[in-house]
Amino acid sequence: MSLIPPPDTTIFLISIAISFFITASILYFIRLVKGPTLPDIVLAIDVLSYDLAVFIVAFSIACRSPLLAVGALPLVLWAYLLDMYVAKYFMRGELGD
Amino acid sequence: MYELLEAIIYYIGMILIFVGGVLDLLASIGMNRFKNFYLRLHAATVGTIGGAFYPLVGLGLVALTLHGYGVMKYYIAGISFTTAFFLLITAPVGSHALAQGAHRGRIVLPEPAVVNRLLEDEEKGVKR
Amino acid sequence: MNRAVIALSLIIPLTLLYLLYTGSISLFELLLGIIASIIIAALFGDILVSSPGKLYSPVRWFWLLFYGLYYLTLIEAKAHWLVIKLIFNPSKIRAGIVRIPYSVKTDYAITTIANSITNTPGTVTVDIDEERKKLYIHWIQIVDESEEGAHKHISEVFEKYASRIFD
Repeated sequence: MSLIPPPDTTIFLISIAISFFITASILYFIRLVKGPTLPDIVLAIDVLSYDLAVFIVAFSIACRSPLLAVGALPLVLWAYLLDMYVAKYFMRGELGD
Repeated sequence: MYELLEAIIYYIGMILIFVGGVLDLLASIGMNRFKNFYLRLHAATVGTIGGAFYPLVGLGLVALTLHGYGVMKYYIAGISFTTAFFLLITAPVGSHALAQGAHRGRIVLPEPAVVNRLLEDEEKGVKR
Repeated sequence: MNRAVIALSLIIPLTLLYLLYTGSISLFELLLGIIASIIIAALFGDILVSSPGKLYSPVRWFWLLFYGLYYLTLIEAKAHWLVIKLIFNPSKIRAGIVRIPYSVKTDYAITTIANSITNTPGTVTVDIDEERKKLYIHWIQIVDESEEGAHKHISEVFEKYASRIFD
């Protein structure tokens, strides 16, 4: 029974790990603001979305509510959709199918 | 026996979360240090696989072993594993599409390049 | 005829997937899963699968599992370590786009190879030439510029397992 710590300690450890992700998100955001070309900005938005997905799942563990975690999957698929549309725009110069 | 298995799953999950956090930090430093879009693509891959896929799997494994969450922990773990799986499939397609679009539209070229076979082949007309 | 066989062979895996995601095996879920599988298999079966016999081969499933574990632990760890070293020493970068050949036939195998290459840090698939069977790879530290040498360094492992799983 004593092999794993109680849930409060687990939530504390996860929140320490989340501080790494928040620091990384700030550095990605600097690239988003600085980014000289459009592909750099889209790349930074992608990685920020993936970080936000991790953050959402960790937050739902901390709040003991599975409803919060549902947002992670559409966020990841949304980043994919953004990539595809921007790539189409680069190749043809217009948004289309 | 069951408790030992639970403890192993828990510690593997915790290690994955912390390794993912460190890798995400390193990748964000790389995003700011690299000079070209194509080089930043590699840093972003570190941030995607090391910084998002591994922590999601780790969070799912940790959620499976939590006490006092009732049946909710299976929902959180299931969403976490599903998100990790879709990330593994869609993230490379997205970054490939960005690289292909940026190269074909000549938005940005890999400027300090040792060799660029794609540009050579496109100018020679061998490719398309 | 062929289309009906493909649709029939897809019903069992799709129902299993549905039951795995819902997480219960009550009669209602079973019936709903079978009905949804029949509709999906009839609509999209011939796009997704061309030879349904491969779906029921346990050897291919074993290699898929083995390759997944091997890829996600050892190959990824090595590639991450290489890029992390380059982040703190950017003067060692020798980047460029190389051309490598591939020899697998099915679309699933090509997608597996390209996705595996892009998912390892250090290599990104930029373009593909399907007529001449070449992939164009942006490589962060070029060790060998020639086609054969780059193929040996980057995608030999992926191609071996991809042909075992999908071809």
